[in-house]
Amino acid sequence: MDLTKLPNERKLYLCKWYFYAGFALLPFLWAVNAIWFFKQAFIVPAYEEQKLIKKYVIFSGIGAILSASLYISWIVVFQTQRTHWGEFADSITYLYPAGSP
Amino acid sequence: MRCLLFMLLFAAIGFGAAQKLRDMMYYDFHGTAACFRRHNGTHQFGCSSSRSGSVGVIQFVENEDDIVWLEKNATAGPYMIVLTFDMFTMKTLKRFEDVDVNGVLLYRNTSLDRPTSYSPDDSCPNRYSGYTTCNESWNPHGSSLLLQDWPFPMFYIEDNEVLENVKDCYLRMNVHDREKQNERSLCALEMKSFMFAALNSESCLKRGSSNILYHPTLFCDPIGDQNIHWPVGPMSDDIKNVIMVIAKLDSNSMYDNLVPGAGSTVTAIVTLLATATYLHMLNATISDTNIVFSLLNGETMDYIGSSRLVYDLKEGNFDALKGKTLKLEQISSVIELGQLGEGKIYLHSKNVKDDNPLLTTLKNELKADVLNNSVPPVSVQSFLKENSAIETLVIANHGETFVNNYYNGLLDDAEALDYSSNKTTNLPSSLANIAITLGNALYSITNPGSKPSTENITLIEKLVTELLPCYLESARCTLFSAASRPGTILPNQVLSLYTGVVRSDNAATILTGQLLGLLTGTTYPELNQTSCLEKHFLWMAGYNLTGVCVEATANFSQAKSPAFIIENYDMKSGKYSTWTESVWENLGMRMFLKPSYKVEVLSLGIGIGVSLFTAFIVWRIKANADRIFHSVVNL
Repeated sequence: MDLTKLPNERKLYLCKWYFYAGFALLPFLWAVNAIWFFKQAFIVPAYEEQKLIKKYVIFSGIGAILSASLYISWIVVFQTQRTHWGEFADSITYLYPAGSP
Repeated sequence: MRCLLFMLLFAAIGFGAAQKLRDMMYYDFHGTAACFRRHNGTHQFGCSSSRSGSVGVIQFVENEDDIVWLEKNATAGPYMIVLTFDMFTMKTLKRFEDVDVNGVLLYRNTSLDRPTSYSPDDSCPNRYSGYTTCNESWNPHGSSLLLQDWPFPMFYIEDNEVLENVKDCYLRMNVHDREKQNERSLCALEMKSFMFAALNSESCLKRGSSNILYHPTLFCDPIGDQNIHWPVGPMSDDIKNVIMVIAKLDSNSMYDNLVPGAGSTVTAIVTLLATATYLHMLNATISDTNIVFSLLNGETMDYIGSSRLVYDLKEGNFDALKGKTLKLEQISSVIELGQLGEGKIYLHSKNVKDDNPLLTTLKNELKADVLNNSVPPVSVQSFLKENSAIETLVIANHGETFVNNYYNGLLDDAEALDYSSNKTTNLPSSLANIAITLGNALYSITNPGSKPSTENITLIEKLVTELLPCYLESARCTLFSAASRPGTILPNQVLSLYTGVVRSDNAATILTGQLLGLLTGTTYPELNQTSCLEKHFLWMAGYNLTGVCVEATANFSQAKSPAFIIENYDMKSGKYSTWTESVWENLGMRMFLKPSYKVEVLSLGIGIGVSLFTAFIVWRIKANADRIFHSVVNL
């Protein structure tokens, strides 16, 4: 979808919708929102809805970065500590690695 | 249409060419045996390759200098070590762990002399599962190679032709100019023996039964099989005590399918079968003392069969015998046939009084030495573990240390016993003598006062002579054929006596059980196949291979360790055997020419270069598409 061809209120509606939908444990939507509307929020000449769009883009970006860092830290911790946690780690594992502890 | 035909033709040529190219690149090995992974409750043992196969440059190691060269000067690692038996020791293998080694290939040149000893088992087999802690060195040649977790795969070959090919390639490509090995193409091996399981039995079993997944991957299986039992008489209320005559049915080795167990197991199986047959021929009447013959499986893996038997007896679940359930309290004594052979016989007794008639008879008739208060690492340990007052007697060819130099190894075969059905040896008569002496002694217990007739002695000698080649030379023998269904084609090879996993049948166990059924059962020549099976009797080929109906009183019972049937059993407690075997997809090995490191890097470099170059060309063409293609469109 080409954002430049959309009416401004439609842009705001979309941006807002993506931001709220991100709360449904879908941080990837925030990342998409932040990148997709970045131009519309900061680069194109000002228009009425831009202020709100800017707000949604910033919060989406923060949300995306926060959840990504949480996600990455969990992966690092789990992958490095899994063998030490023993049985507990096994109980929260979905696919077990073959041939290694 | 023509286009389609061309495509098909092209595909066919391409496929054929690919096959040939593959064959030109790789030399596949046949007749190899691989070391695999096993677990107990706390550890993992054995070997595994990497998932895609372990690759290394071939290096024959024949002496200390070769090892030192590997440690100090080798440049073209990782290596695949090719070893003979005299270098296949714990010390040498441990040194390879610290060098850039990706695998070990053990070979035996069958035209040369065999090593004087090779036993990969512990110096005290089943060290941690006996009834007391084991401090004796029963197996003096035991190297404990089986009880190590090796970081590389190991294979075994004894095919001289294959070995010649390996050696030929090695001599042509690898040997000369060793210091500059990394500058040229070298002969390399790829070993594939990837094992799915890891850590220990508990975790691999749990992972395999995870209930989140609908079809969980199986990682390992409990080791176990079936025990075989035959009571001389039916179990009735009158039976006050029971004498058990037992022997183990399995052996062990590092390599898949190479478990001959001749001296450690076969001689005892044969003697037990002969003794049982002899007592059956004597038609012993059973009044208040019964005799039960049992062949126990998985004994080399911490007494799986015997511990399960004792567990079932204790729990009152042992119903493999016809009639009443046998209880542990009924068993007064256990006689085990240990490792047997020609030569001196020893009686290891525990809790047996010196004037015990059975002991004195055996001692005098077999001219045996008696070792009081001696318990070798055999199945009676399981009985003593439960009841330390039970009388146990182990008949064996060894005193305080084994005389078998190849205990639980792949060299424990007919040759080690110096046995061949073509030449006359004393082995059959020695074993028959033990069987007859033991049979007579048991007969005089059940039928006091009466003398057994001597006419069966030659029959038993003949039976032993026929039994030995079935286990030592080829399973395609008269007795096994007679004990199978008519028309069964038996493998023309020595049966592997490895216990295997519970969920798969073991040919050695089934054939032995059927044979014991035939030897000690009642035959009904008048019944045909249909009426035989209606009566739930066994339909076997019989001695003339035309089919005979047998009512067998011999029976199987499960030899799965109690550890796997007790709910919430603590796998780390060490009470029962917890051995499991890893699941694997394929075991195989092949040889190919591995280019030098420089050539490999160059190939990769060229590949990357070509990709980048094409990407650049495409990008340029796309950018100038208007100019390049416009004129054509306008034409």
